[in-house]
Amino acid sequence: MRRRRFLRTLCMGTCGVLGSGLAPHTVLAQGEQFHKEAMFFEKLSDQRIRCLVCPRECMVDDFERGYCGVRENIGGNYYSVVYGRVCAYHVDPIEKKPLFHFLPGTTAFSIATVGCNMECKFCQNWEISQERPENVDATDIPPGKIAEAAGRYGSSTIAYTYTEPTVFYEYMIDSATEGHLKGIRSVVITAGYIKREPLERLAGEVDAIKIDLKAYSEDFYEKMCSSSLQPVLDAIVVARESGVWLEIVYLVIPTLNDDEGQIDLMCRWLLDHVGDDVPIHFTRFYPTYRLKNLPGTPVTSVERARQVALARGMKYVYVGNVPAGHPGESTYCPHCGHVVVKRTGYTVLSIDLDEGKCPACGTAIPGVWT
Amino acid sequence: MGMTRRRFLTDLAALSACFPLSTGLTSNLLAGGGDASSGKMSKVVVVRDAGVLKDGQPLPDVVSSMLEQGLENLFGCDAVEAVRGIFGNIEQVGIKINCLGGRPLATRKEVTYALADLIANRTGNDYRVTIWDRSERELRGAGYEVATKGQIRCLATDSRGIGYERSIRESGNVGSKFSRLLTEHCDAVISLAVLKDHGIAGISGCMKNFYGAIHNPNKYHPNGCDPYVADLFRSDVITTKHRLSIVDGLVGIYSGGPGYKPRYRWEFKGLIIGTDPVAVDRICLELIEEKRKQMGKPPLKDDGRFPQYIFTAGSSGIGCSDISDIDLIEITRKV
Ligand code: SF4
Repeated sequence: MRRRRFLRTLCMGTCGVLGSGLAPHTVLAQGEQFHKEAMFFEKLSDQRIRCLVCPRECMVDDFERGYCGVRENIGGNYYSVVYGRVCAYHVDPIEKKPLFHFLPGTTAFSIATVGCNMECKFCQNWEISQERPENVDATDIPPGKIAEAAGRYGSSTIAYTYTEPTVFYEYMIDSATEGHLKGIRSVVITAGYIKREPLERLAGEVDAIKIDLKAYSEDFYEKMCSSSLQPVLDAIVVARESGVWLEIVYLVIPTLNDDEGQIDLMCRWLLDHVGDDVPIHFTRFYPTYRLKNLPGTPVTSVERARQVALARGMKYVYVGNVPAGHPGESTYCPHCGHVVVKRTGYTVLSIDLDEGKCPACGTAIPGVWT
Repeated sequence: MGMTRRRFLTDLAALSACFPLSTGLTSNLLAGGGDASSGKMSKVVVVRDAGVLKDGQPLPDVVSSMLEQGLENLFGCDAVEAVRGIFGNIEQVGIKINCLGGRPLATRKEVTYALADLIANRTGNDYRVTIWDRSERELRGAGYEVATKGQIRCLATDSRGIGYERSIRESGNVGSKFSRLLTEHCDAVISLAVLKDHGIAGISGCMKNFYGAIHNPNKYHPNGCDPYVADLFRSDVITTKHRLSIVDGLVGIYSGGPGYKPRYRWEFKGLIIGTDPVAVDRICLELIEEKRKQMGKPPLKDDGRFPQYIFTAGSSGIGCSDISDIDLIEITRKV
């Protein structure tokens, strides 16, 4: 982009369920299933299979499903049972994902199917992430229609979000392909619990990935998420090496992962493995699902986490779920401190970049700006 | 079988008194499960009848008679009396069956209805019986008719107006929504499972049968289902309602489960009955291991799927997993 300064206020409002514009689509009755042969599995003896999408590597017998509950063995073949089976779709500001260095001020046509390959006790979308497809009403939206709908709503991207897109991998890949044919990009909002090969393939098909790093502690991952940390760290490295745009989110939960020493260790790991210019967002937790016994995170906790990360050398550090207008929501040039993207809440107030550089000092600000 | 201590039908004369009946899990160990005369913690009855299948299908009269004989030997009294003692003054009895394996490997209708008929129609106590599993599709696939007939109804969690509870109950490290059939439509429940090998859990018996009572069984399969089977069974909603465990072993499979594989079909022609779910599953483990050995299959341990969850359940107080503490009564008919 040529030097371009503009002030823009985007009136997104809150994202609501879109009730129109996608017809004619079938609203599925509960219990119906959409089967699509799965990618990344191997056949074993006695009609058993091993799924190779995520580090769980579920061994699944005939008639059974993997841990995520949305991939089923039928007669020794493995199928996604949520292909095209959308349980939530909204138009969201891209800032809500959050992705701050990726097409700021645009919207993402955001979709989810049910299912997740983790079980975080603090999941905000547990009513869809922890369900089985037959228990949740869904709308049939084939990949091509997703891309069409995104275009119709003026969205620059399709976001795979709300639950865990790793478990609806096939649908995500096909939707991303359809989107690109129509000039719509794709972003993945994930916990990063995915194996190398499918992630590498995915990174080649999409344009940005946001990974939730839930703590820098194996113990936390085991006890709070029924999973493990190392594969997520590995995925962060793979995503970075792939060249896809990457941002990190860290949900700060009082007493469980808000220790400054732990956050500092995490930042050191990020510096060592992916560098100082990967944006990191510290967001506030609200009591929900199986973690209602803790208070919400004080604003001061995410502010402290931000200070730790900045002090350690991370260049783009944000706070989220804070009262709108917090200075930690905006992007600053790490060299001269100039505000290059000013935000309040999910609203972008101004973008002040000159071909991706700080207009004041010329420092390149990494991101996908156009 | 590899058990060191077992009793055969000839010992039955010693069982003269009707056992005190349990009202919940904690009393199971010393009540319906235990036997003062043997000094054992739990009692399990295995009833086999060589003539129970005709052309591979169960004969209802024979099944009914096996069931009654099993209950009589478990409780030391007439089967009708035993049922009255088990359920007392409650109104609604649930029978959780297992239809996952489809018609060839689901809980047999003949067993289910023999039990339902005994409870609903022969005790004079006006019990209403609900035969249930998680989906109507699976029920129909196993040959059940989703319908109400007299005091007996058959339906699924996904039947209209049922569903899962809205809120989550904690089961160890996992949270689940329970079927309202269990939480609201049953005052007491019987686990009526199938004798089968399971590719992940080793075996699938009467404790694991309750995976069909929650909305997210997929979250309970890591680590060979250990400690998840035990954690789930320890939920209040199960421990306070579970009264009896029966494993339908008329036709099972000793390998390749939980789906039906014809080459592993096993006509055991028996029912395994107890009030202690751990002891019942422990006996099922012995039976399956013995059959596997006979058929040249490796022990489950060597296959990397030993059902450790049974022993976790034992050590967590649900029941007895120590084979030497289980009073096994084997009744073999028409040999
Ligand atoms: S994607 Fe689902 S089925 Fe596959 S390994 Fe992960 S949890 Fe298991």
